[in-house]
Amino acid sequence: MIVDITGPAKSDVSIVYEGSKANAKSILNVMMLAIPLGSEVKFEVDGEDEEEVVQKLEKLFNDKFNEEPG
Amino acid sequence: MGKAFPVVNREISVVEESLPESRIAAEEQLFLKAVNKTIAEINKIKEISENRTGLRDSLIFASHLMILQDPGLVGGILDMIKKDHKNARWAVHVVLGNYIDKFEKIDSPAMRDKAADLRDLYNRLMGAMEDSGPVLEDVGTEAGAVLVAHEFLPSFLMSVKPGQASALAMDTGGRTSHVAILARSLQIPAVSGLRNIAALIKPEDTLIVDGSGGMVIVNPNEDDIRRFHERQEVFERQRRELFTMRRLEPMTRDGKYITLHANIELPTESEKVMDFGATGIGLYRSEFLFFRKDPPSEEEQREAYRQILETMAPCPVTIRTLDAGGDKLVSGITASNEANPFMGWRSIRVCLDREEIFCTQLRALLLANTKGNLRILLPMISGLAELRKAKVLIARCRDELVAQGNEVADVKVGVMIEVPAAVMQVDKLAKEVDFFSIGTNDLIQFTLAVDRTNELITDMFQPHHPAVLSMIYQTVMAAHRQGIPVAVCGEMGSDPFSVLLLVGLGVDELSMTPWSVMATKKIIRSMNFEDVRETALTVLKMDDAEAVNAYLKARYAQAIKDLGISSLLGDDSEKQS
Repeated sequence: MIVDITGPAKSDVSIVYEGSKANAKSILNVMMLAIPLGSEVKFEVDGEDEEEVVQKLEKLFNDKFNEEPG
Repeated sequence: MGKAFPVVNREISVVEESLPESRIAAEEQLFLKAVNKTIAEINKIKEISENRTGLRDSLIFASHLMILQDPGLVGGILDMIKKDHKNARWAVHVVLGNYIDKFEKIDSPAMRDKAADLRDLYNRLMGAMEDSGPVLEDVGTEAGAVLVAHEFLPSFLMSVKPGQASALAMDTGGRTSHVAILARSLQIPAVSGLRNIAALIKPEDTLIVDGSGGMVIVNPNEDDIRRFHERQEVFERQRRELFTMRRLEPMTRDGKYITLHANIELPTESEKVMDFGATGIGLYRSEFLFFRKDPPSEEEQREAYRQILETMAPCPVTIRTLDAGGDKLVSGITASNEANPFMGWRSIRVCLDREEIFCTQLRALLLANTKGNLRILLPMISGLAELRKAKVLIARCRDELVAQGNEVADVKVGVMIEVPAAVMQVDKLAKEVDFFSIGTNDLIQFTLAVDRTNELITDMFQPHHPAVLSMIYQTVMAAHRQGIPVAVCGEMGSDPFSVLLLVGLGVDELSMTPWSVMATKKIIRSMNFEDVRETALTVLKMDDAEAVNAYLKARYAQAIKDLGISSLLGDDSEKQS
């Protein structure tokens, strides 16, 4: 789950989808973007552990986490 | 079948107040306490749901928990209290209400489901702050009414007393909605997704609710009623028969006695255990007490354990020490980022690393054991070294308590056999413990290298894989060579074919949900030990699970069907109300 990675991270993390940006540490804000499965999203990470966060996010997406649609 | 009782969710009224500086801190505390209380409630439901209907369904509650920890939500509410000086209830009303509105506006059924979740959280938080429980309509129905509503919220369902509702019918929701899951766990027949039943039904209508068929018959005619009564009678007869079996012994036709115990999650369940015919508790999952913000004190734990032990005395009670992940227990540790939590920092490993947590639990257990019927079960033991470390700590705690002037009765200590390494050392382990308890779920996962929550490979989770059966057999042989008993406390104990195999392999004790004890007793009383023993030895030599299952089916499927226990195995197809 995205929030498991972004929540404890020291950096600021935002998720961007089709022009809308949301704070990726807030599960509610992420959910509200209503991103359909299979979409492309962008992450903006800024802070002291930014590289680690990016790596973890990449791994999460590559492992195609079993998120139920919605 | 019953009279319709329409349920309308009560409107919660909230008043906006501006508070003086002096009341702000208390108001913050009120809110934070409410959050913790709600988290504890949800953890309870999640655990119950996990144990009765499986991990997948309980992930929904996991998301509820994450929402309660959402910095945007919690931060927003706290800001309104601290900066705008508003009362906690108003802050929750505005901030959470805002999110609910936003979710409802998104055109998607999944989002509307989420909005319903948020509305439930809203009710829970408000109720927790009132200190009077979840906000709900007082269900003063005549016994056995069929509750009808546009929407049922999980917190409402949890507060319905047994017997108050014989069934539920609702407009909203699907099979995996939270209410449906809860209804299944609570064994209340329910039909959802009816769209407009709430509007159509009047309080005088009679309804037949067919949970398995997904149908509600309104104002049934004579044929409908007759058919309903017939099916009900079959169902009731099976249940009655099994209740009278309560006092009968779980003994095979050729005289082998198999001990039947019950698994429980909450101390209060211990009162019902004997009613179901169990002669002890085979597994009390103690981590239940720990799913809250601060770990329970020694006194709190002691009280919970004492309650169970004294209720059950002189029957044995097996309490498993802390078996949860480290991240749940120790604040400041974010082990939740473990790549592989199953094989991570959890259970006995956390206990041996954090002796103060372990010793607090051990002291509570030893002091609660006033009747001497306690068996301590150590989970996830992967070898002799771990066992010996744990035993040293148990002895140390015991000596300390005695030195302080306490009377400490003898206690039996056993290990869970679930890590394959333990199976390979069973001979040595058997010499140093009083009993084994096989954790079949984890043993199967570790042995077959299958994560049962992974949808891609659920078919590979095969309890009857010859390798698994062989591990169980080796464990039993080693235990019996040392004269100690072997129990099985996982789900395997409640599947009829598995029961046959486990008994045949020589398992001495089976522990399962209380409801399944009766059906299992019937299976045992109808079997012949020499026969199932031969079956077990035969299938041990087979090549794969498919061959094993085919053999068992061919040989026993008819006999099991003739036992007439389907209604007691939680087989949904027989449920009707």
